[in-house]
Amino acid sequence: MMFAVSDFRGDALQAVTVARNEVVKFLRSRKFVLFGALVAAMLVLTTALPYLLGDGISGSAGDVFSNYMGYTLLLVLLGATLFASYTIVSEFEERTALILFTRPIRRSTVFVGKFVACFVLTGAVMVAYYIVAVAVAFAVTGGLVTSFLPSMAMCLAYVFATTGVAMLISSVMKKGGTAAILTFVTILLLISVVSAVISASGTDPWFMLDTASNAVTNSIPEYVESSNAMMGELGQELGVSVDGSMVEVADCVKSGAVMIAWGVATLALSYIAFSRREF
Amino acid sequence: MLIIKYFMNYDNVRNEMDNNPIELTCLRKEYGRFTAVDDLSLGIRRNSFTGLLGPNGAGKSTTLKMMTNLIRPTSGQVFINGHEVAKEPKKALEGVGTVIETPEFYGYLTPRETFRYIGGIIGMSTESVSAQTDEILEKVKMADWADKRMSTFSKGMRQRVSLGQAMLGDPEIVILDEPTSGLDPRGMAEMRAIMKDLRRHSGDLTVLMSSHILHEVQDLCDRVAMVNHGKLVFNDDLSNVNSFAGLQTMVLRTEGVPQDTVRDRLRSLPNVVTVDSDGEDTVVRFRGSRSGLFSDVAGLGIGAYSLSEGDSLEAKYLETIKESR
Repeated sequence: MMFAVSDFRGDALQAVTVARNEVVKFLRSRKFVLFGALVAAMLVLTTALPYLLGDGISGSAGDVFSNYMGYTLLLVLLGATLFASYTIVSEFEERTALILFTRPIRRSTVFVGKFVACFVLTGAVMVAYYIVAVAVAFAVTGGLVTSFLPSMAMCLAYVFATTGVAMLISSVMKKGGTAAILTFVTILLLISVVSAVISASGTDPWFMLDTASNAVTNSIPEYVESSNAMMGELGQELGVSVDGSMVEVADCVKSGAVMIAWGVATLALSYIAFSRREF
Repeated sequence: MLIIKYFMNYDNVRNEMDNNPIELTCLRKEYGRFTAVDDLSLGIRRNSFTGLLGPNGAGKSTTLKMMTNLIRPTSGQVFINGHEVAKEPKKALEGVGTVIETPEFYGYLTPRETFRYIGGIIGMSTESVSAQTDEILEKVKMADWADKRMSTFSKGMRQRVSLGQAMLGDPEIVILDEPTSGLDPRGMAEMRAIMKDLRRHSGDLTVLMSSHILHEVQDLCDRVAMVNHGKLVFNDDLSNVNSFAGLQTMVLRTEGVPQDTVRDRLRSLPNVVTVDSDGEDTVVRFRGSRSGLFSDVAGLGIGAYSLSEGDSLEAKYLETIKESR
């Protein structure tokens, strides 16, 4: 038992070492600069554009906050594409596996360290994005956004799921560039196409990642309200009658569980592929 | 009776393991129909510097990759310090430093940061990593580059850092896969000097080095194992190779006399065992003294103008590889 405890402690310390190195790798790469620049651009444009167009920002704190939420899924997708899709394949492509894997370390420990780094890095950027959005809403309206926590929790669940998908692709591909493109296309298009096909056949695709991920925005009542209002206006312009409650407030428990299940399943498959991979 | 036999056998295996920190038993690796390593059994003696020789494609790198958990054997086992690499990689690779092929380093790290990373992986404290880093970088002549990012390093510099990281944590075993491969002559000489120094200063150290550069093995190793077509064809002390069957090797150069005549006349000498041509050289393997052969050759009238000591390892290598075809 003593041995098992010290063995676990040793593995945990090694996983932290691997994770720290991964974070340094990302922080010192151009990809992180690009990701940071994109996140900053989203925040600056969303804040400045209404003023530049002369309208300014109006409405409740929740309304202002929800203006920033439209890009969260795209930012998470970019995070998964830029970091998690490279994390495993790069060890083989850049031959650094010859240094790391020949050391007394289990593949499972390497895998955990890499996952933690990817999740923490993308997750931290997204948490920072939420904090800035809440702060801007407070600065402009003087009101506090109460609905940001469920949305942020859903966002982190989405980070978990997309990291799993990206690491699965990273575990089986030979080139980092191909893994990145495939990750982007899979999450943005392939999964949505499958959802559309399922939906067209009359089944509710609630178990699909893209459908569940809508909870990131649809857990914010103000966002749902403005979406329904926008749908109504669009319907009027097109002369079509639109149900005023077409977008519903998300069931966070169900959507969160679906996203976590996607993350667990893809990470499990990714680990199997990674542990069997030979140099 | 059976039980006694079993325990006697178990003791023998344990003794083998104690003497041989690296033990390969019936190791086999197949890629589809191609067999890269074919039932290879080999023990590497404690505190030896063993050269693993073989032509390209003989299975040297595949064997070393199985020893370092980069690939899994199709069958058979690799034991390091009594732990099976495929089943207990963490325990087996404890105290093992490796340089496999030409590894690429994390270009965004400096050698000092790389050592800190690897030190963390092998469980060294920050203090002991710091203490060893300067000493090792000095040894591998990379001290001036300790804080420069490695993305700009040449292959020779990366190879020196690579050997340095293998020495981190004072390993008991070092596994090197063609450590001078692809280096220019100066780089090769520097790497060899570092390895010689490593051998000289490390008390309890077992080194296994694959190579196809014979004089490198002759220069560094005290034991030699040869593989061909994935099979072990020879494993012995280098001193036994040098005095293989009590024969010595000399290389002769002649002028003005056809090579056939030179060979025939040399074969007529009483102590000469074999005579072979190697380009313009004639390789003579013989018994007895070198001065005796020198006098005999001078009296043959074959226009000899140069007689130099030949490479016994090369002769043994070529003979063994030829026999195992």
